[in-house]
Amino acid sequence: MQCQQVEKLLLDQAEALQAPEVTSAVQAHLATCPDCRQFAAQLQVLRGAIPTLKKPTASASLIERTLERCHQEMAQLRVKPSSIKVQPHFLPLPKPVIITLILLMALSVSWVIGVITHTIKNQQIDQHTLWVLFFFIQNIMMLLLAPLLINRFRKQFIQNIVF
Amino acid sequence: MSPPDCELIQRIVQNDRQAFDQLFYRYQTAIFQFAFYLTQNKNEAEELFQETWLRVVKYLPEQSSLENFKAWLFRITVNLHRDQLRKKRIRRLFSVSPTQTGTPDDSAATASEPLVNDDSIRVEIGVVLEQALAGLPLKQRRVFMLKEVEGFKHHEISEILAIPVGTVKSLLHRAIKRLQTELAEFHDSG
Repeated sequence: MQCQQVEKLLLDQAEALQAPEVTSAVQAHLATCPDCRQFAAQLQVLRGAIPTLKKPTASASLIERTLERCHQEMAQLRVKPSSIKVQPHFLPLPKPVIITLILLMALSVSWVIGVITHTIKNQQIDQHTLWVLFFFIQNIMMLLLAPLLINRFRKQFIQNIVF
Repeated sequence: MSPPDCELIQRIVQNDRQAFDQLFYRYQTAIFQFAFYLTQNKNEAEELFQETWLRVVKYLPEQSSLENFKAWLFRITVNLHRDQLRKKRIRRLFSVSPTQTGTPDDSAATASEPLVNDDSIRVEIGVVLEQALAGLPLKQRRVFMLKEVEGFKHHEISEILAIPVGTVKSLLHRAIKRLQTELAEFHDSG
């Protein structure tokens, strides 16, 4: 058993029940290693010193003030129970909004497909075609992000009403 | 027999003040002591102490599946202390004249016991250990206090401080090595 392992086991001793063979291996190492013996002894002194640490206590006035403020806070929370409700992460969009977004998405995709088909047929890509493609792809991305943006602003709006 | 934490928490959520007071008195000493050793300053410790309990009142109703109240309580204190330090750094950045920072406070909160002749060596060790603790880097001091004084396990400290268990062990090891050096004279003298 190496010194580093023994140190680690001595530090963890209080935490977990160690198997008897581990404990006896540690004891056997300590019997032959003066450095680890010194470490173990110093650790014992340190752990023995911990109960002698000054134990600062909160003054009576601090305790009184803190309890008073906590009681006031509890009373306020009782008045507004809705303030501690957790808002759902995703609010469902109204059906008309969903239908409109789907229609717009379908229109944009069909236009893009039409432009691409026309380009492949004519084997000609000009600047105008590229600009049209760019415009419709941008449109599709905005439509994909729209539900997230709508939800985000809805949540903020609702929070402002609740609080 | 005093009721367990989970029972008191259920009653607090129903706005039972007595249950809150019971829980408060159960942990107020440990929290104040921890806050004091973190901040090394009586005023800051008092502020941290009060803010911790206010946070408990505010957020306890949301912790429906809280398994370890004590660990959660200490986590609040650690996080609030981090915020306190951040604000101090910002204030120091923008201040023209040197501001009052959290200097170690000799006239700490009330002493727990009067000095007795027979305990003079114990008191001396305690004073040396206290000074050595104050000299530890904050991260090591936190881990040492939580492990050796409060008795939290490694995985609990890992959750409280939001650091890996390996880091907890490493910090603890370094803290203990350092403190052992400070207390070496007591070991050598027996």
